[in-house]
Amino acid sequence: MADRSASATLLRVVTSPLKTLDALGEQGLFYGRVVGSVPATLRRYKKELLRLIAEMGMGAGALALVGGSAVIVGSITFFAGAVAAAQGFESSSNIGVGSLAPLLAAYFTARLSTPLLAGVALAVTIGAATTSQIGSMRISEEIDALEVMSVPSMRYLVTTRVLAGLIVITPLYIFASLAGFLADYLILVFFYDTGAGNFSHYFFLYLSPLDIVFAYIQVIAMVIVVMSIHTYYGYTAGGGPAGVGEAVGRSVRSSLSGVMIVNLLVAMALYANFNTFHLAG
Amino acid sequence: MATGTTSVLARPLKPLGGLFAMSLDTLQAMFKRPFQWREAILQMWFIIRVSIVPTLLVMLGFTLLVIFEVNLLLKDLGALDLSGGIAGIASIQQIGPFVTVVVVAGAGGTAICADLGARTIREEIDAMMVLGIDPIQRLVVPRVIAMVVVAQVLNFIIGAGGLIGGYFFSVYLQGATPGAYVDSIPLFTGPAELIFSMVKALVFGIIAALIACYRGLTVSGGSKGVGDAVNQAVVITITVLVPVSLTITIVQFAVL
Repeated sequence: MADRSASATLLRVVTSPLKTLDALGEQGLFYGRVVGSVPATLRRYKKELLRLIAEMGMGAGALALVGGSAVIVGSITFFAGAVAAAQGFESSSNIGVGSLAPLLAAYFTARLSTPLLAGVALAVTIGAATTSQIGSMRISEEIDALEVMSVPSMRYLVTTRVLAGLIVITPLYIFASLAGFLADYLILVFFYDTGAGNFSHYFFLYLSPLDIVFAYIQVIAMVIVVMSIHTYYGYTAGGGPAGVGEAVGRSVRSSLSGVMIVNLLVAMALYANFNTFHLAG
Repeated sequence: MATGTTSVLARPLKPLGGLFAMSLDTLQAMFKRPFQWREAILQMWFIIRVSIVPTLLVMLGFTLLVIFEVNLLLKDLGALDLSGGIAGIASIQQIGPFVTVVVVAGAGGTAICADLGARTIREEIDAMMVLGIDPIQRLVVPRVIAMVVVAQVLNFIIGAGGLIGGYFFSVYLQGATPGAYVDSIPLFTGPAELIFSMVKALVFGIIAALIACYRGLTVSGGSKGVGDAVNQAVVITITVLVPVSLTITIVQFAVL
């Protein structure tokens, strides 16, 4: 008995890293298949793509009630911009340069808070909704039904959603950026009274257009990660309705981690040797 | 017509009222003996287990990115000696609690909501009520307590990790002086700021746990129900917590 449990433990110790590796390989294969099926999807499923774009922008079900994912992403970046502006003002007036707060707001909102929070908001709104949708299709055997009708489910359900996410992100990101900048303005001009002229002078002096383009690249990288992870967990959901809930939870956890790591790497690659910020010209 | 208007108003307001009613019930049940120690400790372990890896990765991505980019700005100003102060602001005052929000809602909240939602659609909750067991006292109270404790622990981990990680970033990658880094931390961040950071984590933990439990216990509607509930729980929590964070920040500046 004793050595049987010992051998079972040994077996588990040996196989569990292998299983993890197996799961990672499967995910990699899945992502490879998604990328590989992009041209075919673009050719064949334009209509479904358009429908998904509309659905993601406006939100489906309960999300539509509050104005869709656009409003949620916008409100999160709005409040994050407000926090950045408030902290920027308080810290800079600590060392006597409170009127430079718009500079800090422009720097933090454009570079940090908008892309990061937009990534988080995307993961939890569009991403988690996708997992829930595809997961419930999987457990109610709709995906099997598609395959029986010889509709390639990967292309029809997964690749279309990844592409739709990539297209929807552009207007969403613009909206989110504007919401963040609006929050900077409202907080600094109306709450802390730094003066509208002072705000626009320092804000536009140091708001580098290239930063906004870089942040857009960051957001594109994040949306690829978010949509791939969330479609994977939905596509491989199992274990009844409770399993779909589990899959949504697990997908949110891994996509949040993935988003942050990708964002850090992309930012370091973009900014490390190429600083767009020059105070002294 | 009249029913039309009431239903338009009732759709968003009913869940809100339900959430507040459940919060009051939870507050009342919190002081009812016996307290479910066993469930609370098991839940703490469960929430820590699901959220420790996302915490570390999100901290790595979020806090360190902020420190990295602020150091670029400081370098240009010739004030890299202040990098420790910025690391303190980032990891203790602002980004730390923000990361706690993201992790508490995205990892802990989703796990709690999926767990309770699964129990609800298997009618285990109804069975408990038939047996005369109050699900609020037995399930919700221990989860709220567990979430609050875990939020504090995570907030400390993120704060400490941010300061240590910021040290490596600033000193080894960006050329700040080690002594100046350590010396400038207390410039912006003191015990009072740390207490506000803990208050933030406390409030976030309570709100996230209540929303997750409420959405989990009110799951309905077929196979899509649980997935949608988990999705809504995390969306609602993050959307609520970001303004809450701003409010506490502004109160903090007004008080200190």
